[in-house]
Amino acid sequence: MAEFSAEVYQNEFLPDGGTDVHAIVTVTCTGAGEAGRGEGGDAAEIVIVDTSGSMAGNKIRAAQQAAAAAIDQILDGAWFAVIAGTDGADRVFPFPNARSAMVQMEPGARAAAKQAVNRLVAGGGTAIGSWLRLATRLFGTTPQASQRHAILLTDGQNQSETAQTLSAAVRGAQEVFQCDCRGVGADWDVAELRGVATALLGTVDLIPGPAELAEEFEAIMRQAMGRGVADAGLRVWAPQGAQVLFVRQVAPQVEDLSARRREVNALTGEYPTGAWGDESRDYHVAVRLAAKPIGSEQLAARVQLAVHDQVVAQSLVKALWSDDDALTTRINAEVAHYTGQAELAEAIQEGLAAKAAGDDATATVKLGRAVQLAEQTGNAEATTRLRKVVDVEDAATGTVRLRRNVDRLDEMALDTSSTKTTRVKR
Amino acid sequence: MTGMVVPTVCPVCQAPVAPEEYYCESCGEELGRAGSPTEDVGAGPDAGSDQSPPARRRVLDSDVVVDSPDLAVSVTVCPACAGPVAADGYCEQCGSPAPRYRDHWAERPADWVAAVCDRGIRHVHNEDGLALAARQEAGGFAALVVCDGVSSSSGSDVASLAAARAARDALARGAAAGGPPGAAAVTRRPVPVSVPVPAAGPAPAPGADPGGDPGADPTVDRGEDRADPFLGGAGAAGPGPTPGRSSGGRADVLASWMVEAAHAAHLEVIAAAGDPPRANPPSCTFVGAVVEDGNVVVGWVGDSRAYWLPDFGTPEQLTVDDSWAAEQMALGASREEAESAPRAHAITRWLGVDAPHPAPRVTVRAPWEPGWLLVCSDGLWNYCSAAEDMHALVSGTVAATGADPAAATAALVDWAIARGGHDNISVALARVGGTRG
Repeated sequence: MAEFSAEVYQNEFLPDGGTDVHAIVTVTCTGAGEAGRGEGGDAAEIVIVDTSGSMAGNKIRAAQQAAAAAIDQILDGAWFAVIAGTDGADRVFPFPNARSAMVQMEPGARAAAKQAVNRLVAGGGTAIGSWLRLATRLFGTTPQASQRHAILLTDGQNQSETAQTLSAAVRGAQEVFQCDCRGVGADWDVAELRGVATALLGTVDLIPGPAELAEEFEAIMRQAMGRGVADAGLRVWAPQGAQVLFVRQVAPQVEDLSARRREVNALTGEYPTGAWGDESRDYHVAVRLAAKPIGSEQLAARVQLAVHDQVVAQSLVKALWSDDDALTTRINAEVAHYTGQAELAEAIQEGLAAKAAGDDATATVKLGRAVQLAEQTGNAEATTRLRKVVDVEDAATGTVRLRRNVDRLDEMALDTSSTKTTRVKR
Repeated sequence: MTGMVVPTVCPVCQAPVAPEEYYCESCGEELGRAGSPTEDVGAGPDAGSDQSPPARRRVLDSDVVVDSPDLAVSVTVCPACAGPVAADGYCEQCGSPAPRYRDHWAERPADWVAAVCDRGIRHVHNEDGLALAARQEAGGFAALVVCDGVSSSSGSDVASLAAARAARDALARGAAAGGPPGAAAVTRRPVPVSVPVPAAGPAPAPGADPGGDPGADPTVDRGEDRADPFLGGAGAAGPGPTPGRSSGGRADVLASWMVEAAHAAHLEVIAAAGDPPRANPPSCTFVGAVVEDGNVVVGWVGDSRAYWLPDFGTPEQLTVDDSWAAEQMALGASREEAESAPRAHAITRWLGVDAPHPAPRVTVRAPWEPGWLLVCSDGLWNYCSAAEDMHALVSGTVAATGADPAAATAALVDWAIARGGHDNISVALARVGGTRG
């Protein structure tokens, strides 16, 4: 039986006239069990492989191995299907002539699915939206599978359909399934794929070469199968008259959840979190209150995790107005750390976007700030990646120069990993 | 409460309400049910925002009313916005922390007897406990008990409340009993072997001189050596309600019940320490007062106090603190000097596992003129120690609030809070000998 706990880190003391309360809430899940084996209904998995013309050669062979590795990780009893994506989308398993759109995993189905994957050939364009639409339809045939997840692999930009078509397909897939997206090679668009993954509560990452594909797919699928809690929502209650400034996941990666708010009641919003395994995630919640007299106390937020509309964990974010400067000026280490990490992600993405647009001045400022923040927050991984894109003159002040002849893969790696955060050392 | 009209709709918002509800679910209005605050809590200055726990009122065979409100439950309606209070202790609407009943509650078993117990400002917990019992007929019978938990030990809040209630219950039994506790069927909790048995039991026989018991120290003082002409007891001249020595026998019986009450309180404090007693066990003071047909009997251990505040005569502090300050004063130091010393509040006697001498000292009076009997913890008297000052404070308060002791006790607590609320505050008042003026 999965158990959730929530811990809050904040400085609850506000100075006279203070209004803004910031808190980091760590939500931890233990005993999640395996996907589809709990109370939440069956699990369903779809592997979506890009088979456009650019995949020809090494890449398609690596993709076949990767899909097979993923199939090996799907637990017996879970519903599954494999989609080949080009400028359209084909169901390659269950075979196109099969009566059911998805089947439950068992040894025979596993062998047959691997055979189907081995016959994949590269050819045609790329229309990710059509892949998502087919996946949405397939999941729709299997309502008993309430925990739905897909892996999507692509190597190119979405050239065979309009951006609007893709957005519509993403909207149609939202709340139907979660999707982890991976790009292989240097020809895909990080921002585009991040948009898909973020909207579908998944992750995005770069796989530099075909050799690493199988390992990555196996890991993603193993993780998906280890998520025994099918669906959950982070709930944030704020008192009447208060304003929720933002709700942001800050670990393991930064993601602004504010726009995902769904109203539970007038004072409570729910932010979908997707499935949970044994893991912990950190959230940054900021609430603006009306200032109260010195000595007053007010609950600034209840941060809860809800599973099937049941609150399973709660932590309280408080506000205490004090005239003691020693208390009110204390900086909470968690809040400061994640505020820096979120700004770091933003600085990297904005810097790279400016560089791509030829605005070297903005790129230099933003990436310089990123170097400074990575240094301050002790994010060594980000520092290493940044150094491949800029020459650092002084990390403390963020003085950098843009490097010439940067490897595009290095730039993409910096971009995709920009949202990954380091945790506070406690 | 019989004959009470039970509303089926909220008088304010007209929403339907269930008979068992004290508050309107919709708007939070108090519904004036039996046992709800409007009945039990006096209209103190802040009584509009006051909430009391669901009363657990019992009327004993002797017509004595006792109330043991469940202080563990939390307030269900936010005093700030009338929204519902969540299980986490904060309002579901405005986020205000809900007051805990244990932090502030009032009791009023009869119109002429009331008390308020309050956390004050500086302390995180309310470690004072109090309990009242009374007959409805003014002056007929009342028991007022205050126990002040020692905050340096753990669990003193639990211990002090249990102690006050146990003592109050013992005194209420005494109201019904013709004789001393030994004669009545009194079940005593066995005392753990490892604990020193308090010198209180067996209780003295009626008329016996308790001071003659070398082990015990319920030094019953009848006030014979007092010069105050307004205090009777020793057959004082004047129209006393129960004149002459005839009260002596009953006063002695009540005094023995006071010893019994302190013993019951002591056992509760011991029980609260656990078995075996934990390190740093709880402890508390004790002050009990009984008013019965013109007799006033007071017993105490520690520095919680009782004052007799007659309408016209000379006020008197009935208790003598078991404290470092009192010892200094006994040695000749001035009150100001002694009570302002850093160690002034170190008490020399208390109730609990480690109590050196838990039997109460007892004093008896038979006042012949009307006045107020005040029982309080140091959260009040710290700001107003001398009997003359306390007299002026209570008189002034009653002049402002009227003669309702519920209003007066609430106002006295507010006064102590306004002075800083450095400690928990317990104030209990009984009106003795008719209304003023």
